[in-house]
Order: sequence, then structure tokens, then C-alpha cells
Amino acid sequence: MNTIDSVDDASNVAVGEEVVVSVRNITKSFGGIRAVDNVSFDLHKGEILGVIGPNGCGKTTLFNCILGQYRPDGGRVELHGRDVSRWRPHRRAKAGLARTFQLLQVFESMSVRDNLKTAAQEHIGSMGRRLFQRPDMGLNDKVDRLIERFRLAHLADERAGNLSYGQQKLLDTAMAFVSGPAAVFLDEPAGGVNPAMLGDLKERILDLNQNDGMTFAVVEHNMEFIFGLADRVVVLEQGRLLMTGTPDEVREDPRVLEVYLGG
Amino acid sequence: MSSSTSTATGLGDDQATVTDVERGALSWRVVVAIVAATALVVVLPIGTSHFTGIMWLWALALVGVVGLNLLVAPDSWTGIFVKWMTLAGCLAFLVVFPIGRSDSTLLDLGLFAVFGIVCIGTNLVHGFAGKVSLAQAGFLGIGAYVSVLFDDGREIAIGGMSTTLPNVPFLLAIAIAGLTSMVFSVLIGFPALRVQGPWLAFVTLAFNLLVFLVLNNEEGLTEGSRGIRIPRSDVTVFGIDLFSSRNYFYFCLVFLVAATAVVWWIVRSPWGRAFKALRDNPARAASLGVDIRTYTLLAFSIGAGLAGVAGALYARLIEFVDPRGFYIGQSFDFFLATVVGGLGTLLGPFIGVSFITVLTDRLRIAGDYYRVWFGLFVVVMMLVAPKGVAGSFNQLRARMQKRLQKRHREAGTEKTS
Repeated sequence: MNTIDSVDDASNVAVGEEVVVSVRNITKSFGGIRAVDNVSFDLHKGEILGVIGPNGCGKTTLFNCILGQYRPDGGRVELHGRDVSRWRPHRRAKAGLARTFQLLQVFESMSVRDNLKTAAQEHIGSMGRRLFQRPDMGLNDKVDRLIERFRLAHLADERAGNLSYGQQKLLDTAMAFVSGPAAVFLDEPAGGVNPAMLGDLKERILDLNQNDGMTFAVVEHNMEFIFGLADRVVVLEQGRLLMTGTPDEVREDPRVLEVYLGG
Repeated sequence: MSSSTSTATGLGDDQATVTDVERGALSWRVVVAIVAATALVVVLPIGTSHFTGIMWLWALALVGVVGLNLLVAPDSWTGIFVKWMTLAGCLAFLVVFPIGRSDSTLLDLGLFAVFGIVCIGTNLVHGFAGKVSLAQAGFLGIGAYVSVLFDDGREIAIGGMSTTLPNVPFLLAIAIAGLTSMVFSVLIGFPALRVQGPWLAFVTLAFNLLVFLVLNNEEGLTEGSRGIRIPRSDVTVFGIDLFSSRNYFYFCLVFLVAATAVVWWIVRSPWGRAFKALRDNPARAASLGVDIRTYTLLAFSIGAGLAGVAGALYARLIEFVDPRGFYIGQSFDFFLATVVGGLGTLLGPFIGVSFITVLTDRLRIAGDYYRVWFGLFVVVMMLVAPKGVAGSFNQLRARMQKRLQKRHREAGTEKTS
């Protein structure tokens, strides 16, 4: 079990485990409120890291700092040891940091296929070359495989805006994977998804994790969902890191119980 | 169609009912839109010298072509054939129609071509990339004045310094006009990137006003409100004399076709998808690696460049430039034309621009009230067909195709059972 004091030393990193994303002392304030306060953790290759905490504890702000939507007041984000803290979001995405957002974010006017092609195309070639490439950019097979995998094949040519909420959520998640990222940050993937589709979503994530070795960080409110998914869980409270540990450790920790029940 | 158990949720069923309601609402909307358009094109000019028997033939041909395009499946080989034949027909019409027309008709046609280029640009910026630009008339003005200044070997004075500009061939002047507009669009683009929606509209509108004020007040550069006469009599391109109104219209038509081809190429390339992503959801696009800053500037500068080229053509078309032609009202006209025609469609700008050029001429019989009629028309169109004429056509066609397919399937099952 790691506490806030031991995160910064390397003892919590198992030998041979490759660090994909390293978050170091991220701090972000809005006005007088410290939304994220000196948070550090490592994301290891092939793991699913859960990020939990009560409402307003800074989980989404932390993600926005890691992925470039916000510029943190202090701290560093490293991808494979390279400092990406000052990069704009699209550059981090190209370097391999993919994400989804808390609210549904698909391109409604485009077909499911075009949504996925858009998600993939900017990772190939230069901007000038892209103007003169075939419209599909040779992505058809790749996109179709992913559509198949996410069980959206019968909707491939449907406008994304016409899909049901759960289907859009699947598409949204699929879009994060199509470029073959180094790490995927999912912001509340289970939010608003009905229980029937929840299992489906979990299955997809586990499938990508176990068969493709995909690395995940997942912000989630649904405890049942995250404890069944994550290898390791980070608990935030009022912007600070409360603890990290396995789901079992976190479940039994008195401090976590206090935050969720006592608060 | 296979539906997995996971997709058969309550949400899906709700959605079906919503679409059905929309369908019902759409049909009366389309009817009202068609009636409004017909009233404007056909009924109003009846009983005036503008209306001739041949117009019935044109109207009939138009209805036939539209109906044919509505009935064939757009993805089938027949559909593709019909589409290309329609395009070829339209082009042939634009080539043949000017033969033997009066200079005033040719002027209207020229305005159609020139403003068409502007609206194609507006459509790329607004319809595809989702950025409202109300500075298109400003870029038109920059293009027009630049081409005029670089043509006559004019002496200009600005800020106490005076110099004589070189006299360059017309084609080069057009290129310089387009490039200058592009440079200005990038300059305005950087600050404009920080704002969205209506605020972006204000910024671009302010820029247009700025251009107008410069054109109006920098007399050393532009002759101010007196304007500059710029006769076409000496213009030849590749040995073709452009003084003839018909030749000049064909010259403009070449640029119109080229502009259409360029924008068609862009929107079907991966850039087009990036632009649409930018329009639908910029934050999501950025998170997927789309460089939203560069793409926004690209859309902006291509739109402005087209307006600049159009400006150079416009100056020689009406043989006179004067700041009032590039006032913000003109920007609103381009904006309305593009919206009414159908944002984000390739045909939309043509339909829209025919409203502000050809129809403006038709509506002159309404005297001073023609602006009122046009305004009323825009209001009606926005209420009944928010996606514009071309957008509504696409909706209608999608609905008809669905219905036809359903009928086809039903017929098929009856046979087998």
C-alpha cells in the first residue's frame, strides 16, 4: 500500500514495470480554490488505473491537466520520460495520450465510420500530404475491425447523432483507441450508461487491456464498475492524493471509508 | 439488419418516435419552403416584362431535374450518373444561356459568378469549419482594391510617403489580390481564434468595418468615397479580349468552376473531415490530434483568398470600385445567401447566391420594397427550412429513399412468402 508520503520515491514501482505516463506534483487552482494539489502518480504499461474520489475532488481537473486542456500552475507530465507539460492537447494526442470526456463527445453530423477516421487520420503523415491523400487514407480495414470489435457494425454508416446514448458512448470510447495510443484516459465511461450496456463496455475495456496490452487511467463514480476493472486505484480527496492501492486495499482502508461515508 | 441485444435498449425506441415526429413536421416545412421559393421566382414577376413563356419551360426543366435527383438513390450507379449529368447540364446552361443576352443580363450573370466564389468561401469557413465570418465583403474589397492598384501603374500616397506601383498583368493581379486577402485573414485569424460563435462574428464584423473605413478615408490610396473607374477595355488574357461582356462572364465562370473544384477536393479530403470535426466539437477534435489552430486559420484564409480573387474579378466586372460596395451590409448578404442556400453543402452557395443576384434583379419590379421581400423570404426560409434549400433537399431525399427502400423490401417479402 502506498500513502501520499511514499508516492514520490520509486519503491512503489515494481521492478521491470515500464512507466508510460508519469505525473509529478501537478497543482491547479481556480481563483482561491486548489482543485488539484500536488498530485503525483505513475501509470504503468498494461495496467488499468482507477481514479476515484468524492464529487469535486479534482479528478476531471487532474485529467485536463495531464492531457493539456488546462495548463497546470505547477508540476510536470511525462510520457515515456519526455516532458509534455507545455504541449497543446493535439500534440499530446499525437504523441499517444488519448482520452474521452465526461460528457458525450462524438461528431454528430458525421457517420460512425467518419468519426473513427477523423480520430485516426491526424496521426498519419503531415498536414500537407493529407490534403492530397485518398479520402479514406487506407484506414477502412482498421476502422472496420474496430467497429466490429465495439459491436457497431450494423450502424457503421449511420449519423453518429442518431445513435442511442449507450451506442454513442461506445463510439466515443472506440475513437480513443483507433490511433493505437500509449495510454487512454477515460473520464467516467460508465456515466449515464444503462446497466445492460455497462457489462459490454467493461468487457471491451478488459479485452483491449488483456489482448492488446492497452494502458488505461479511468475516472469513475461507479465503485462497482471500477473495482471490477482496475488493477490499482488512486483516491483523491479535495485535490490531494489520499492513497493508492489495489481495489481490495482501497475498499478496506479506513480513510477512504471516512471520505465516502463520514463526509 | 442485425441488432445485438445490447443495442435494443429503451433509448433506441424513444428515438424512433422522435424521428417520426420530426418527419411529420418536415413535410409541411418543405411544402412551405417550396411555395415561398416558387412565389419568389415565378409568381412575383408574372404580368411584368420580366416574365416570358420560356420561363415556364425553365421552371418545368428545373422541377424535372430536381424530381429525378430526388427519386434515384444517390449512392447507386444511376444516382451518380444522374448527379453528374445534372452538373454537366447546369454547366452547359451557364455556357449556352449568355449567348445573345443583353449586357445587363450578362452583368447579373457575372455578379452571380463572382459572388458565387465569395459564397463558396463563406460556406467553407462557416458551413464546413463552423466559424462565422462576417468579413467576406472586407476581403472582397481588399482583393478589388489591390487588383486595381496593381493594374494602372497608379501613384499612391500613404502616411506622407508616395510611390508608384508596378503595372502587372491581369492574371497576376488576381493572384496578388487573393494572396493579400489571405495574409489579412491570417492577421485577423490569430486574435479571432480566441473567440467563438457570436463573438467571432463581432470580431470579423469589426474588421470589415475597419476595411471600409480605410477604403473610405485613405484618399491617397483609394481615392476615398469618389471611387476609382477601372475600365475593362484594355484587358486581354491569353489573347482573348475580355472587354466583351460575354467573354468576361466566361472568364469569371472559369474561376467559379475552379473554386468549386478546389473546395470540393478539400471537403472530401481528410481536411474536410477535420473541418467538420472542428465544427461539431473543437475540444474533442483537439483531443484526437486535430490541430485546431492551424485548421481554423486554413479555413479562414482559403475563404478569404477566394473572396480576394472574387474581388479582383468584381472590380473589372462593374468597371468601378467604391467603398460602399464592401460595407458590412454586403457581408450580411453573403452570410444570408450561404445560410439560405444550405450550409455545409456544395450546391448551397449557388442556390443562395442566385437569390441575392438573379432574384434581386427579378424583385426590382417590387421597387423599393425588394429588400423587404428578400428579408421576408429569408425569415420564412429560416423558420421552415433551417438547413437551407440544399440541406432540406438532402433531408427530403433521404426520407424518400428510406420510404422507397421500405416499399421495395415489402414487395420482396410478399414475393417470397
